[in-house]
This record gives sequence, C-alpha cells and structure tokens, in this order.
Amino acid sequence: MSTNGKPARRDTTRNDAQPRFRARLRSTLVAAFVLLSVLPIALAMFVAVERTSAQAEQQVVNQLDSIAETKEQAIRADLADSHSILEGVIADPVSYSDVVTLLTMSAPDESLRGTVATRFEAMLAVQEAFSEFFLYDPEGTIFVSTEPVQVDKVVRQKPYYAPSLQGVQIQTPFYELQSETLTMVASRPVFDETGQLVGVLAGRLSPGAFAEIMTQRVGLGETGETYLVSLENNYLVTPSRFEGYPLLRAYHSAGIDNALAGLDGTASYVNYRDQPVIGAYRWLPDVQLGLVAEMEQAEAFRAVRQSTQTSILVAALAAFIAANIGLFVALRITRPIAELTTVTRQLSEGNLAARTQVRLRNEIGELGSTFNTMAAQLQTTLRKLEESVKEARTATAMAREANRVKSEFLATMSHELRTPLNAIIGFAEILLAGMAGELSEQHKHKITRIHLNSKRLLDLINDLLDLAKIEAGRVEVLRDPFSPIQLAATLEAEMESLAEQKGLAFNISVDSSLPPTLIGDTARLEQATSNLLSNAFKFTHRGRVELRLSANGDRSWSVVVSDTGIGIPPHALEYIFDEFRQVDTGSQRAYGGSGLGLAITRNLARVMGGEVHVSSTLGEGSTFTITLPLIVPEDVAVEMAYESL
Amino acid sequence: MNHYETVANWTVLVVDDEPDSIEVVTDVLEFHGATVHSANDGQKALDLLGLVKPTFILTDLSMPIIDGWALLASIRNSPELDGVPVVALTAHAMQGDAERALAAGFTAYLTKPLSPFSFITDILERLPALA
Repeated sequence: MSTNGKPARRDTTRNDAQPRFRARLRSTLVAAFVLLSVLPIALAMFVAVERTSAQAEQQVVNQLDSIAETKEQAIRADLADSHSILEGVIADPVSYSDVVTLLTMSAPDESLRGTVATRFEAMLAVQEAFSEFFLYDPEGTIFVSTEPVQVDKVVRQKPYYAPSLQGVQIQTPFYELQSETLTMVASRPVFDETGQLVGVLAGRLSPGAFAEIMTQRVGLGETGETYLVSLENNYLVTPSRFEGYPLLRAYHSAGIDNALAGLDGTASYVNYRDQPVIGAYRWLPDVQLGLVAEMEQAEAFRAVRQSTQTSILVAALAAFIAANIGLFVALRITRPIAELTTVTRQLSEGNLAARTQVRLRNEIGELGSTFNTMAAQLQTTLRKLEESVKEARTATAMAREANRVKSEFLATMSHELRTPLNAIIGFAEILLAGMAGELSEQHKHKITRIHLNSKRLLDLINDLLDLAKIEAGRVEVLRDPFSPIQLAATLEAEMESLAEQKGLAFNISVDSSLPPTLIGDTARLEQATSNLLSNAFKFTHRGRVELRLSANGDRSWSVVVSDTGIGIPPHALEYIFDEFRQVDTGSQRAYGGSGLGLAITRNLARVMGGEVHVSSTLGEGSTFTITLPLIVPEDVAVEMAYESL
Repeated sequence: MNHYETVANWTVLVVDDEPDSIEVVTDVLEFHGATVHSANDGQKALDLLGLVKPTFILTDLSMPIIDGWALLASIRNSPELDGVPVVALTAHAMQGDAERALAAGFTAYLTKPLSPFSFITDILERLPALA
C-alpha cells in the first residue's frame, strides 16, 4: 500500500477554500438565529408599543373628558350660586319693598336710591360671584348701581336688556366697548304687588369667577389646560396657561371650532398654539361657551415613547445575545463539519489513513464514526484489490512467459523433427527415384512404405504445429476483402484431382444472396474448408461431395460441406472435433490422417469469430457447417442498400 | 522434365552441419549432373569460397561457429562473390521464418524436409535466372 502511512498532504490552495465554506455555513446559521430571535421580539415590541400608545391616548382622552366634565359641573354650580345670590338680593324684604317703591316712583327719591345702593354694596361685599349689582326700569334706565358712574345710563342697547324683561336669564359673554372686556350679566325681573313688571335686577358676573375654575390644573400635567371660548369673535373667556395669548383675540382650532359649533367630543389636533394636542371639547349651552381641555401629545405619549425606547434597547440586547448564541452554536456545528471535510478531502486525495477526531454525542459524531468505518473499509478493500491486481499481474506475466516458452518449444521441436525427417524422406525418395541404382520390387515396396509413413509423420507434425500455433494465439486473422466465388474456385481446383481419383461427384454452389465481396482471412478459410473437404472425400466411397457457400440473413454466412459418406455414429458427434479423435481407432488405421483436421478447423473457425457444427446419419452421410459473421466492405454494403430500395 | 544440360553446368556449394542432409542434397544434385562442394560449417564454407566460385550456395541456418546468417553476411561483404545466389535450406518452417530470411538478403528459402522428386524444379522456380 503505497498510500498507507503517508503523512496527510496539506494543499494550501485547498485550505484557502475551506474557511470560505465554513464562514458561509456559519454566517447562514448566525443570520438564521438572529432573525429567528429578533423577529418575534420586534413583532412583540411593535404590538406592545401600538397597544400602549393606544391605551395611553385613551387614558389621556378619558382624563381630559372627565376634567372637562368636572369643570362643566363646576361652572353649572357656579351659575346656580349666582342665581341664588340674585334671589337673595331680591328676597331681602327691606330692599325688595325699597326697590319696588323706588321703581314705581315717578321721580326717584335720592335718599331711597342711596339706601338701596348701600344695601346692594353690603350684599356685594359678602359674595365673590358678582362684581356689580345694578337695577334698571323697564325702559332700561339704571336707577341704582354699586358702581355710581353707571346710574342713569340706559342699557336698552345691551344684548341682555330685551331677554331680561322676559324672565330669569344669564346673558352670554359679550364684548363691552366701555370696559373693553367680555361681560356676563345675570338678571331677574322685578314685579310689584299686582305682578306688574317694574324693573330688572342685574348682576355683572366677575370675570375671574370662571377663570378660577378653568385654571385649576389638577390632573393636567405640564402642558394640559382648560379654557372657555366665546362665540363672540372666538375670544378666550378664561386665560391661556401660556404667555402671549391674550383673551381678546380670535382663536381657532379643531377643538375650539367644534365646541363652538355645539359639538361634544374628543380628538387629536393642532391647537391654537400650533401644538399637536389631544383634546376634549364640549358646548356649554347654559353660558353659551365652548369648553376645551387639551394636553400636548408630546406629554401624553412621553411615557409611551420612553417604554418604546426601553423596548428597542431590550430587543437590541436580545438580538446581540441571540447573535452570540447563534455564533456559538454555528461554530459548534461547523467546526466538526469542517474537520470532517478536511479529512474527507485527505481521503479523496489518496490518504486512506486519514481519520476524523470528531467525538460528539450527536448525529455529526455518528457521521464521524461512520466515516471512520467507511475509510477503514475502503482501506481494506483497496489493499485487497491491490493484492488481487498484483496477483493477476503476476499470473498474466507467468502466462505470457509460459506462452513464450511454448512458442520457443514449438519452433525447436519443429526444427528438430524436420531434420531427421529430411534424411528419411530424402533417402527414401532418392532410392525410389532410382538415383541410387535399380531396386528389386520387394525393396521398392518396403521403401514405399517407409516413404508414405514418413510423409504421414510430416503431415502429423505440420498439423500439430498448426494446432499448437492456433492455441498459442500466434495466428493472426486478416481482415481483407475477398470473393467467395474465388474461394470456391480455389477449393475446387485443390480437390478436383481427389474427386476424380475416387470417382465422386463434386458439386459447388455459391448463393446469389451472398455479397460478391466479404471481409475475412481467405487463407484461413481455405485451410478450414479444405480440411472438411479432405475428410468428406476420405470417408465417402460413392455418391458426391458438396460445397455450398450461403448467406444466413445479413448477420452471418456459412460454408457447408456435405457428403454421402459413411456418416458418424451419434455418440461420436460429441468428440468428433477433439484432437486425435476419429470415430474409433480402427477407422484411424483404415483412413489414415492425423485426427487433427477437425480440431484445426474448429479452432480456425473460432479465431475468425465463428463456429463449426456437424449433423450426420450413419451410413447416409455428414454435413459440416462453418458459420461466420458476415462482414461486407462499406461500398458493398451501400450497393446492397441501393438494391433493396 | 529433363534439366540435365542445365544442371550439368552447375557448381553448387552445400553447407550443413548434418552430414545426412549434405548427402541427400549431394545425391540429388550429382544425379542430375551438378558439381557439388560441401562444407559442414560456415568457416569451411568461406575457406572453400576462396577456391571456387559456385553457381549458387545452399546453406543451413542453424550451425555452430559461423551460422547461415553470418555466412550470408560474409558473402555479401566479399565483392568477388557479388551476384552469387544464396538459398536458405532449413528446418525452420515456422510462420515468419521465410520472411525473416528473405529480408536478411537470402535469394530464396526452402524448407526441410526437401523432396528429391521435386528438388530441381523447386530450385529452378526460385532461381529462374539459372534456367
């Protein structure tokens, strides 16, 4: 085993290629691990953020809505208080009679006016809702006011005047030119004993009253605010939480406009300060004001944003850990695979002693041990194979040597046998030719026997050598074009004298279906056929000998030699082609011949790729058939193809 | 066919290490009237060739000391023997032997055993210039 024990060959170019493969496998695994861990985290995070922000918004909306509700209630309560106060002012028995008296007088009594005014001032001082009480007659002339400058002024043009004659009411805020402020006036009519309307008691509501409610910022965080907006020019009724936004300016936003349009609701929008906000708005029909509660989205979602950042951080951390685990696992998987690959390559490069050291208790470990088993088997198999090849080579060499020795032996034997035969035949013929003087008849007869037997010996030697040459594979079969008709003619010429000598008919026929030219070894064919013909003439005493060349389809053709001779007994058909076998020893004596002719014919037929068969009936004759592959020259084949068209 | 007149003019050198072979050939040739000189090895043949120039030479191939091949080479190297036919008469009758001999420069090739009946005809067939 030349490959055994050879150190593992390490091809540098191959090694360069190896880490690339490992890196690819590793990066694939890492990518898969990272994706698998990051994707669910990201998805969960996205859902959580979405839910949290929706929840946060809902929470803010709810909060703002409830704040708005609370403030509306507070304003209602405040308004109810205002009415109670006005009722209280009227219900005061002293002032009520004074007021009616004062209003029904044709000319107002100054002292009574002073008494009522003093009474009003006293009442104004004990409450905070109103900044002024004043009294006017049905024509709108102010009789009494806690603000002395208002006395005798006519309120006929004021928006609250007309409704105030009809019943208790609160005039929605309106812009008063003199004071340059938004004003609200609550009023109730005053009737005399007969139920006749004699005037109206009115109170100017303090501007700070609602402001106190609206600027309460419990639950509004850093940017939340509530404010009231007037239908009048979209003015703010209560101050903005932020500086630079005076009351008397027209303000617009989705919240403000919706509230003033009489709608209640919540929405996200850009407010009057151009800030994106979440807002709750509602219309207060009692005071004809819009109430808006807003909080900036930045603040509302701050918590969400913070939790989103935390989530991203956690996800990134998870991804990082996952990537590291992935790398670790990938290395664990790829390292043994890479080692296996290296060892496999060593094996493929012929280092059959290569074994893997992978000892994992998993499928890869199993692969490794299976690989080692396989490599060991391969090594054993190859060793056996090499041994077999070596044996086969030795056997071939021995056979070749044996063949060479055999050929040499044949040549030597031929030479050594011919040399004494040369003398025997030579002297016999010299004597028979009379070159050494006249012979007596008796001598002539004996020498003739010597001569014939020595000729027979020569034939035997020649046949033996032929057979030995064929069996030693020294016969080269030619592949030349020849004419079957010419072959038949040659054989006819060769056998003619023999036929004449024995008085037998010699019929020769060549099938017209046989191509005019075939490929083969005409000398070998002639030798094989003439052996059969010699036998036919030898064993036939009357009748005929026939030679027929015929085609058997387009694959083979036959040389058929038949006779009307003595025939062959069935038991002899089995061995008739064996060397030195005639039907029996008696026939050998009777007919002569070496007994090698049929063996030579069979061997020649075989070296030409064919076979010989015999059929025979004892006493009637025999038929020998040499069947050979039909090979035609290409031009002949083309010609035949044309003819068949 | 009677070749007596032709053969009577022949002077033949027969070279063979087998005395029986020499005798057969000598008997046949002399019967037909030829003058025969014989040698039982190559060296003696060369010695003889210094004395006589034969019509043709018949030589065995396998002989001790100087064999038929070496003899042929020597003959072909001596200018005075130029044009003398050299016929191999040998028991080497295997396929290819004749071709090898003719290729080496032998004029003709005859195998043993020779037939005295047809020997003269065989020679004349192979050496037509002698007829």
